[in-house]
Amino acid sequence: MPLPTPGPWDRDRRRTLALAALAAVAGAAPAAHAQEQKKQPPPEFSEGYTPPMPSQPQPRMPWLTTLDVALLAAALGLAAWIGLHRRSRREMRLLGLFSVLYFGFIRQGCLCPVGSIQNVALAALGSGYALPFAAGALFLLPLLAALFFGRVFCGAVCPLGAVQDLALLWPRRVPAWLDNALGVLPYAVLGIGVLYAAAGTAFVVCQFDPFVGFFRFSGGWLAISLGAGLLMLGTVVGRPYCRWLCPYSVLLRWTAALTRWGVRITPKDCIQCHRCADACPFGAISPATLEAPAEPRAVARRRLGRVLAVAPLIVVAGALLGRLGAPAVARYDRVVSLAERVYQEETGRVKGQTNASEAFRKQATPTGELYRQALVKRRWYGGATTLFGAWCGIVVAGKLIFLTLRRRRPDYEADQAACLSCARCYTSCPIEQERLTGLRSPLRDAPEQP
Amino acid sequence: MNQNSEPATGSTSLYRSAKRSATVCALFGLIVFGLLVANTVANRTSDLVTPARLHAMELELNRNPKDEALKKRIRRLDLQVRRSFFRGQAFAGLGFLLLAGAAVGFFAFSELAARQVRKLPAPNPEAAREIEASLPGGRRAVAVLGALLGGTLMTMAVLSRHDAAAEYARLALRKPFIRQAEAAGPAGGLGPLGRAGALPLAGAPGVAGAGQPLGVATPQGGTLLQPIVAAPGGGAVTPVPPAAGPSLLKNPPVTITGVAPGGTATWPRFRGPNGDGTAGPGDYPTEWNATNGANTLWKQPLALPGWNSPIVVDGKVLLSGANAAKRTVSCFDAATGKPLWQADVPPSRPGEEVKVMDDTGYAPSTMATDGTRLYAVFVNGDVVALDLQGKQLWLHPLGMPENHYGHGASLTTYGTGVIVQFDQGSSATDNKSELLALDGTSGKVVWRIKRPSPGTWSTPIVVKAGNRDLIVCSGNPLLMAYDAASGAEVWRAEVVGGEIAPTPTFGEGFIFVANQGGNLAAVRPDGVGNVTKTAVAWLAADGLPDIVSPLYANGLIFLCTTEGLVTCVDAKTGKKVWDHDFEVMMRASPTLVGGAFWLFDVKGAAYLVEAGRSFKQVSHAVVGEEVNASPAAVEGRFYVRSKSHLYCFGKKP
Repeated sequence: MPLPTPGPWDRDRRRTLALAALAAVAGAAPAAHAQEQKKQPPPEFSEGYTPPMPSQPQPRMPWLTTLDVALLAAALGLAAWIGLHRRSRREMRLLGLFSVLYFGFIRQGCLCPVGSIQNVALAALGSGYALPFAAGALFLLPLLAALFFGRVFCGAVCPLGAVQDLALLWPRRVPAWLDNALGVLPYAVLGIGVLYAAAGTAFVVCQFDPFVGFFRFSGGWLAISLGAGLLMLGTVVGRPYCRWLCPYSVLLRWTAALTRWGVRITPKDCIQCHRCADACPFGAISPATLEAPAEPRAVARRRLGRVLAVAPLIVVAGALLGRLGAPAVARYDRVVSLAERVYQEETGRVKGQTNASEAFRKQATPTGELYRQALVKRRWYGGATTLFGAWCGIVVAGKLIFLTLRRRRPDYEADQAACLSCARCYTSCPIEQERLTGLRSPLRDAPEQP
Repeated sequence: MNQNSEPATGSTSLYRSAKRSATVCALFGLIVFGLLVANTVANRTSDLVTPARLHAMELELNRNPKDEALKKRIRRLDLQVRRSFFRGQAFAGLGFLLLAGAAVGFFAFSELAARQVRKLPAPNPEAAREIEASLPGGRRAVAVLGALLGGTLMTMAVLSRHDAAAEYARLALRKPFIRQAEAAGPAGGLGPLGRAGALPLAGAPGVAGAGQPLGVATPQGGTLLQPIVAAPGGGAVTPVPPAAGPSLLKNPPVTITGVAPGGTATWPRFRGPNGDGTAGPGDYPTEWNATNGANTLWKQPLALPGWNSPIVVDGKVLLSGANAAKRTVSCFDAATGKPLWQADVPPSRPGEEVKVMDDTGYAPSTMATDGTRLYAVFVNGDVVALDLQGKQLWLHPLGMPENHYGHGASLTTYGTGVIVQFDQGSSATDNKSELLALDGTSGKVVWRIKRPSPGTWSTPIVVKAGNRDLIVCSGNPLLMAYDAASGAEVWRAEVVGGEIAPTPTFGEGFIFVANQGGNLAAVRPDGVGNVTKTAVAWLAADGLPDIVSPLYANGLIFLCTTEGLVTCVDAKTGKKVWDHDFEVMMRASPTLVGGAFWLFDVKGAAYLVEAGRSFKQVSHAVVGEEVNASPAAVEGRFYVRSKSHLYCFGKKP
């Protein structure tokens, strides 16, 4: 059977992208489904029929919650075992499929360490909220696993990551400059998520979770569209949400960077074939640095000096901008927005009432009390948003310093902080193939790669 | 991913089959999606039309209730709508399943096809050089992204600055809007400010909207020296333009004193004889502790709850109490605490349901006395007079006020009458609020005057300013002065806002009024008409209280918020001198004793603070029970009402 010439899909890229668009359309189905789930007022019966009363959903049984946590722990252990011991990409995919089905569709994305950041933030920085055991466990278990085994949670346990991993059909590498810039975004998302959670305003990370709508067969158009877009992008770009939006990835990066038992690309001695670097769709394997730097050391030093000098200014500017933007950020808060609405109604700026303002007026709570609460919230946001702005400044300045520092890598290295433990690199490793097949790799005898 | 990839290993036919299958799945999914969208659009269109049709038919049925054919048509349409809804639901459910299947098929076949042509990775010999070359671009991109983040915040900031609604809190609660009125020029006045984006003068709820002039009422009736029965209803509301005369601020200061009944009435009303919270002469204790009896002279349980403060007359301590079923006035011997009598006050409208908030209760208003009679008002608007032995003299029902907290203003007296600030309604233009003078002997209305204010909870003060006796009332948005004898309006100043609970006070030749939602303002009392532009010395916005009344002492004004933030302001300039956050809830108004003042928190702790230009807590005392009422301070003794007891603190011999 003759083999196709290399790259019919390359030549057919337009069609590929069109198909990817169709995939996104398919992903948008839950939104259409959700649109249908509107309510009709009940009919008035005159023949003695009593319509069933709406009932409150019962909370999940405690033992089931414990089971969920146990399953998460087991999945993490299994992912570590598959990724580090079994070194099987196929089994990792199967585990990812299980995660999508159970943690995604069955548990509807609610067993979510990504969202648990907000529970922790609310418990630590808010008031009157006790952190539930399950939320605490969800938050800590993946981090502990990352500390010991690298980001095995991302590899196959996180349903958000797994669903993107399944959608990655034609991986293309993102230019390094773009990857570096977009890598700032998760820190900003983490900051805004913590900000709103600590204020008790909203769990925005959950509200804008792009994939939970698929898992629940319902959701807002914005989130669904974001998810569909990310899935479409994810067919060619590896895990865009995990790399450039996921707030939990920030914490995982920090902990995984400390691991000593993370993914090792080759099971034995490396023969310097460097195939693995090309196999990684996430840019987590860095090549060796050039022996002779492209520019004189003095130039690099002066640049570093400039960046270090500007860094504090960036942080201060971020804090100032954060302070200036505080009123707008605070508007997302329910109390603040309600106060503004009521105020607009009181002063005749708007006509009619919203559901919220109508409900407020029926409570007979004094509007002055509402304004006072809103003012307290706005003041809180004034300080918190300043910190948020400073945080963004620190991240940007830190990234600039990171990109300015000259470092030496004698060889290809897997970046444990960025490695998503997907096991793709194993399949391209000739030594791994030797381990699996027992046959000597011809690459051992090939000329050394530059 | 690399152009140097090695040839793939796979089957061409499998690749083609998989690719075609993926395409078929995608096309199928696209068709299903299109049908779902069409279904959604159709249902939405139907949603817009059908309710209107149904509503029109229902209206028609209301006109012709016996039209059986119409009833059938309505039922048919209703059934049709419901069938359509459930059909749409079923269609959407099926459509989703089909779409999900198409998506799974698409991804599965695409993965299968991709595997057939997937190239083995190959090293990129230029990788290191490309990485090195990408660093400058990376730095630029990070800088651009940082700028985008900053630009987003900046844009949000700019947009919110240009949106007056986003600034409602600062403008409504903090900014001295009177200055905006001045900036707006002659067109400003009492109406809208006349410039784009500016807030109307009414910064708080229930105030007249744009273009609605606030009015002043003329009193109906006689004077307190000549009681007559007033005609029902209020006076006409007529606009009062701002006074155009010269500023009064350059005139010599006018002397202000409180007008007290005197005689045996040593603490005749809320905040004492002058209504300014100043204790009478005496050797007062600087510390006490009710839990161990230190300087606690006596303690008596209270039969009924109430947040009102005690008054003292003729050696008796009096207060009112009430619950949903019963209302009483209780009298204790000031020297021993012995209960002397307790008078029941049956309601004027038995069986009337009175709904109150817990923070208000059924007896929030402090009694008053003119030295010969006792006056009390309850939350349902019943004003009652008793003699000093507890015999009820008369009861005048003012009617249930339209006040969402319930009536909370305390009474005061002037001459032979009792003054009631009976504000209600939700807007200054409701024309429901009144100031009344009731004859102390008969309870009949001597005069009454409409007030342009929504419901308030502030107590009026009676002062002599120069040669005029004035009743000064805080409202929203006006601080107003009335002739104490006739009730005629003397002046008004547009300096207040928000929900009015603190009582005005005076000193330095000025009336001081402070309220969250408005300002702290210093107003000369010798003007006439609208003195907003001629008599307001300054406005300030620091530490505005929402319940606790301000205290003047030693050229300083002391403000206290419910949250326990105490702010000292210079009475001459309005500038903040110091503040201190006690971080406890406080509702009782401060009481000045010598050079220091007492503050009570709701948990029952009391703090003696020096009334000076720097914060200094002199001592600390313990009541040990919830305290919301202000103390009466007479002849070296404090009479303090807690939630369930009346205490007397004084130096033990």
